[in-house]
Amino acid sequence: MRGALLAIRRRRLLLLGAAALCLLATPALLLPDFVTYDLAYAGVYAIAILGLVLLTGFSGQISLGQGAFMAVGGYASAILVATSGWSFYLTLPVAGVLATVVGIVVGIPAARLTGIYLALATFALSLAAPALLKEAVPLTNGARGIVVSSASPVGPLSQEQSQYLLCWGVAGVLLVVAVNLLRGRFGRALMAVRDSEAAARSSGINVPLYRAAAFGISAFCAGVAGALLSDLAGFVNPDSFGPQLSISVLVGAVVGGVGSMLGPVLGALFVEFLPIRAQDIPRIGTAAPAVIEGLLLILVVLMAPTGLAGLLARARGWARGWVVRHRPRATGPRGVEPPPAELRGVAMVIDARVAEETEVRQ
Amino acid sequence: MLELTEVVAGYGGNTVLHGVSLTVPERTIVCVLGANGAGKTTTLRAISGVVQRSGAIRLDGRSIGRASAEQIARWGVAHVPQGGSVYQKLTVEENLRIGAHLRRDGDVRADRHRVSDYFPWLSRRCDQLAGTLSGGQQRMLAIARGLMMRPRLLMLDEPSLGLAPLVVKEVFDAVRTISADLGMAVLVVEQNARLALRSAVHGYVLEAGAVAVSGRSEVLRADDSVRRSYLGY
Amino acid sequence: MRQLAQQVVSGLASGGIFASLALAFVLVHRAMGVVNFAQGEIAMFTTFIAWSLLETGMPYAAAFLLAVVAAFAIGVGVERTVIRPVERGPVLATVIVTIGLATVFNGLAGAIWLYMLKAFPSPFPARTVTVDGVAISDQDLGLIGTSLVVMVLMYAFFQHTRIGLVMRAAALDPVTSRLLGVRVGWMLALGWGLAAMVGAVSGMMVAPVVFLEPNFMQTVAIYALAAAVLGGIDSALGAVIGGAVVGVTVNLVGTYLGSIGASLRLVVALAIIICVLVVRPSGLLGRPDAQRV
Repeated sequence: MRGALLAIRRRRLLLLGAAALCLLATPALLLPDFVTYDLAYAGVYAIAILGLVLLTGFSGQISLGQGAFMAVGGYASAILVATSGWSFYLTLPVAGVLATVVGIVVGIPAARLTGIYLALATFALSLAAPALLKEAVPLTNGARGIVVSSASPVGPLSQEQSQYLLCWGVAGVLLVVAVNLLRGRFGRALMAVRDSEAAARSSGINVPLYRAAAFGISAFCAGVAGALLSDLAGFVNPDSFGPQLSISVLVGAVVGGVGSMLGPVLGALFVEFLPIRAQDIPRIGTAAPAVIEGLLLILVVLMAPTGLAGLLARARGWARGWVVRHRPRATGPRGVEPPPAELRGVAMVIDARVAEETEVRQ
Repeated sequence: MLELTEVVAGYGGNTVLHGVSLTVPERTIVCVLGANGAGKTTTLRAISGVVQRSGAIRLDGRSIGRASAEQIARWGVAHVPQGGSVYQKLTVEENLRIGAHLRRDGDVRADRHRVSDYFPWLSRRCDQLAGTLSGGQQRMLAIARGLMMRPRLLMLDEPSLGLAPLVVKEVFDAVRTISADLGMAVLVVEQNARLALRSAVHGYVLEAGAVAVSGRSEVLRADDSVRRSYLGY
Repeated sequence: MRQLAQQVVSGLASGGIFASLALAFVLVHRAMGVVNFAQGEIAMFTTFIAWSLLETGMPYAAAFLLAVVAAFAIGVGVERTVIRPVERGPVLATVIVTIGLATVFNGLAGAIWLYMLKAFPSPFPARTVTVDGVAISDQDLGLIGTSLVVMVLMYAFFQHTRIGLVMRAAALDPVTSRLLGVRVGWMLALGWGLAAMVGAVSGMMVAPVVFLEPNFMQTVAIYALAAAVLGGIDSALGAVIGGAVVGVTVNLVGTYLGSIGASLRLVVALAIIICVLVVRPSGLLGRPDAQRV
């Protein structure tokens, strides 16, 4: 039975992978360069959001400080390229690793904090990053930032197309790695820690270690995203990594959905394209993105805590259910698949109704 | 004054009560007995409105089966939960004041004195934090706090649980006196059947979420088979 | 020495501002164990309302009072509509909702009143008294005085009124409180209303000092958060003490280490937040088990 399910999963993954590849390549070739550029930005967000989803959704720790880790990666990459002449592509892993180290360093004391205190601490972190960057003038050039020349495009592609493929390529790889990580022992341990610290501890799981590790992994994603950001923008400065960025990543995570791997993609698209479209609204113009983002954030938490990805999953479930009801012979060992356990458990991180139901039962 | 008819109640997906019917007449002490898990606490919770319930629950003729817990309390139901649940971080005096927070009549002070008569130690420890009291004292404080509501119906959930026998006697003596003095109806849930039947006028024995036996307490006490099968003594 | 005293005095004055907004944070946290990330933005919004009222020619006292009442209404309204669905759920949900609110209020303020700097009058005269060579302005005294008055009022409200006691009870044990007939939901709304009122006062104290624009409360909110965390997120007295400490420290850092730059002051406040949270999350005067997970 298990073997059959695994085979089905593997086949699904391959199909998904192939579909993703096609999806990936097409826009790069068909759309105008400025749209491709925006899509590249969305790819960067997707990576940062993935980091946050791994942290919040699967290890249950709140972080309002992704921007700070992105700053580490972004500045690391910029400094290496601008002052030491490194090739940009080489700086990517360095940025990731450096950010991971910082993430673990932060994660160790953070592991002891929960709830509102963790939110506050990471929020303070997101504010501290630009302030510190402004002060560390010899290293970071202070408020003026560092200018980098973007990496040269690959082959016959334009700059934007090349960047787009890089960003989404990296995003795709990281998404696949994340899925595999979560389906395995590490993922299960993380979720055990998230759901019940006491139970996890008594199962022999070193809780602070896992929590710090989760921070490290989430910071890795942020660091890579930050590095890519520096290449896309062509510069880094302290204000581009401020609390606004951390909040955007959070918005992307919540709207996209903290429960599944499609979430970061959807959330990233939302975060990148909404402000652009919203600014066209007459009269409210500049204020519109903020108001709409805020309202949507609230609405999503109140009404659709599983985010867009969750809604999609539910829609898929209904569709499948409809299919099964109307073609009974189509059911086999596959039948109607319930939503993956992770989705329901993770929804508890934000969904008040689910949490309340569990509480009353006790 | 309190009537339950075929009340079904439970938590989440689990149904605990499968059609409980009981009556608490005016000015009477009624006890609900039964083993662990029989649904005694759930019965009280169904009345006070903190669990999902269906079926008819009438207080003085008014249907309360759909009302919120706050509203039911405002209509005169004082539910003293298991363990008492006093506000640990508030003083004895503050706990009592909250009991009376809804009252606009002028008799609050009189009740405050009366409550001190039932539990004399209360006046000595007015400003003490409730969390520093002993278990028995916290239980008595919780009852006193419920009394400050001047309820129509006082509901006690296992008042003897974990208390020394002398303290338990004190508590039950107070409950009997209070009911007589104030003309208040009392619904007591107890595992200690012998104790409960000595104070109560009527008794209901629950088993697996429904009423197995009921009757006047002397009758229940006298009936050997009932005693042995249901009351464990 | 004189300059030190001078800086301490003006530090205490800013501390007064931080303390008053910190009190708003404490109010909400005591009621439901959550930090309202929109506190500063709501304070900013109500200050703008006061400005609009003043622009119509209304006397200061009337505008002040009306703005405070409006703040109360906004606080209650926000709690009953947007916070109520998530108040019994996980902390993260409420945190995200308050972040969303902050964004909305900021955007709305920008849309309604635009981004140009505006002047806001101070209720205190511009007199300065010199004591021992240290100049203390009426403005400074006014700020310190106002936050002390707010603290005393809050203390009196919670310790000596029936409804204050009921609010405390609702926050301590909502389940038992319901059994005693307390409308816990409305107590929470009241808490938010009061917090918004306190925030409005704080905003109207800050506005004369810096200029009024949609982002003007953001740095103040950070310092106020540092004050609240330092003093203990559940303690009103802690908020005031925390405010004084943060105000004086930040001022001294800004004066004596001025060469390192203005953003260092902010870093100091942030460092305070992080250090307190890591070492003793409940702050100086908070009780260690006061955390809602």
